[in-house]
Amino acid sequence: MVLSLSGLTCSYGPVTAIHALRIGVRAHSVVAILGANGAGKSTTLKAISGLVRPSRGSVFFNGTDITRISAAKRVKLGIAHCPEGRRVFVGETVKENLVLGGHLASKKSIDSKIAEVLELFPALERRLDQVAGSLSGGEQQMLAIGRALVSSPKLLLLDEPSLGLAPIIIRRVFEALVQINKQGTAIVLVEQNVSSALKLASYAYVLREGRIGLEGTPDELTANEQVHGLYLGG
Amino acid sequence: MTLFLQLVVSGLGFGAVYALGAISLTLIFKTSNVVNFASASLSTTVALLMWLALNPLHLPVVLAWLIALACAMVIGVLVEAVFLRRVEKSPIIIQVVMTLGLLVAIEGLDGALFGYSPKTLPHVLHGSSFAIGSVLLDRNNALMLAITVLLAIALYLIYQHTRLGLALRAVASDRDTASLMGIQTQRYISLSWAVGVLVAGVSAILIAPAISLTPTFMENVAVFAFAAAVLGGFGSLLGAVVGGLVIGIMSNLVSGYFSNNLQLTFVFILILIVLYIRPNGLFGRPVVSRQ
Ligand SMILES: Nc1ncnc2c1ncn2[C@@H]1O[C@H](COP(=O)(O)OP(=O)(O)O)[C@@H](O)[C@H]1O
Ligand SMILES: [Mg+2]
Repeated sequence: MVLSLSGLTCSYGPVTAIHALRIGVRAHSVVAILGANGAGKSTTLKAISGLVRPSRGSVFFNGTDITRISAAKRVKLGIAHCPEGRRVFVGETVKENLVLGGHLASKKSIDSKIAEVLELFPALERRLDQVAGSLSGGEQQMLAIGRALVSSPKLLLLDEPSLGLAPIIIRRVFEALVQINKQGTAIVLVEQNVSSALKLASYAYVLREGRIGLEGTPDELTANEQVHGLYLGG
Repeated sequence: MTLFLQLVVSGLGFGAVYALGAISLTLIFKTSNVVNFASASLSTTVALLMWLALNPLHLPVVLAWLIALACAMVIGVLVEAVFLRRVEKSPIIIQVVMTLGLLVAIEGLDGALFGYSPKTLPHVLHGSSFAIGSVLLDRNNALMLAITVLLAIALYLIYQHTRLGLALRAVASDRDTASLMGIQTQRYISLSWAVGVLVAGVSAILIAPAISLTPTFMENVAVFAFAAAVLGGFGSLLGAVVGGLVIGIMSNLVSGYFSNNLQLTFVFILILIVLYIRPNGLFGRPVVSRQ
């Protein structure tokens, strides 16, 4: 297991966003986390990357307990989090955004990683010197994913990468995710786009009100009538 | 014409000090999003420590400078770590009250510790003014101007062309996302407070010989520095420098042609006009975004 969450509970003041989650991610695999708005998906990713502190439970990364480690140090261990809403640095150039992704890496490794990212997302190449805020939504998403890759992560957390994008762009982004995964990076994919997510994932969890409502392989889940009910019922 | 040029040139000295104050505010604001209203009392404390090192302790000038500047950085780090970090997630108004509270509290402490009788710090340079044609340029004014311009250039280069500067910009624009890049954001915020109070402290030490050093002596300077930062677009280093110099020249012209008492009025009328025409200040730019 590259990642395992045991009994993970996170609260915002009186609101418990996720409750005693138990989730496992095998090395090199893609795991999807599905669920309606407010189900606790983003909070789960933030707990994994260290942006929120769990009130109970633990996060294990490659067998070590990282629950008390800061977000910045988790990047060093090999966790990259591509947050909800992309969050590119809009005032900085595309190149600078990519360099920031490699904050902990050497200059040499940044250069070679950026070259890889541009191969994966050629659309970014001619935008390198433009400020990121001037990119289209799809390009910003590619930049956000590319930026996360510059740190050479072992585990990539993606929060709704398809949100607000045209179907053709979504397809391109998902093709890139297949590539990234092929090269050995495990992925935790949070999505509302259930069909795309289940095509990519080898295992999926469906969250409902901060708890795991259902889990299984994509085949098991698609065969299950409940998925649609749970999912669309929100 | 000679009077005009003379007023402009001698305004540059104070203008440089306002620019330093504005740079200090800008550095701190850029990374921590806090408007440091305590700047005046923090920089006064640095100048008083300089006085302490020079007068009662009779340390050599260079050593006194080093001690004062080291203390400035420690003060910056401590103020952020002890006070501002507690309220970093609170509404802006709470942070404003916190820095205003620090302004008053530290001023009072300075008064209690050092007394209210005016003290003097020596000029850095001695000797007569340079003559440029018929206009005289005071040596110390020239020094202040040189320090300000060099510092601004150095900071600009660091911000725009180094990875340190890039990380500082990232922390400034989105702290959570910066930490997802592996940036230890807290360190950069401490650093910006250290350098911010250092710069403000330098401005106080440079200006103190020209006005008498009391626990409240930086209050007026700080108002002009604040105005300079706003004029420059709060957040732009170039803007801080230009804003400081413009205000230094402007207020000197007003006191030369009209009256000392009208300085503040004229400066703020200028600011109202500039902000009316350019709501983001001279060098502030609205963020380009399609998000
Ligand atoms: N910063 C926050 N402060 C307070 N409550 C929050 C915060 N972020 C999320 N929540 C609450 O936590 C719950 C889970 O939110 P989230 O993890 O964002 O869900 P999802 O990503 O599945 O839409 C929701 O009830 C949401 O309102
Ligand atoms: Mg979410």
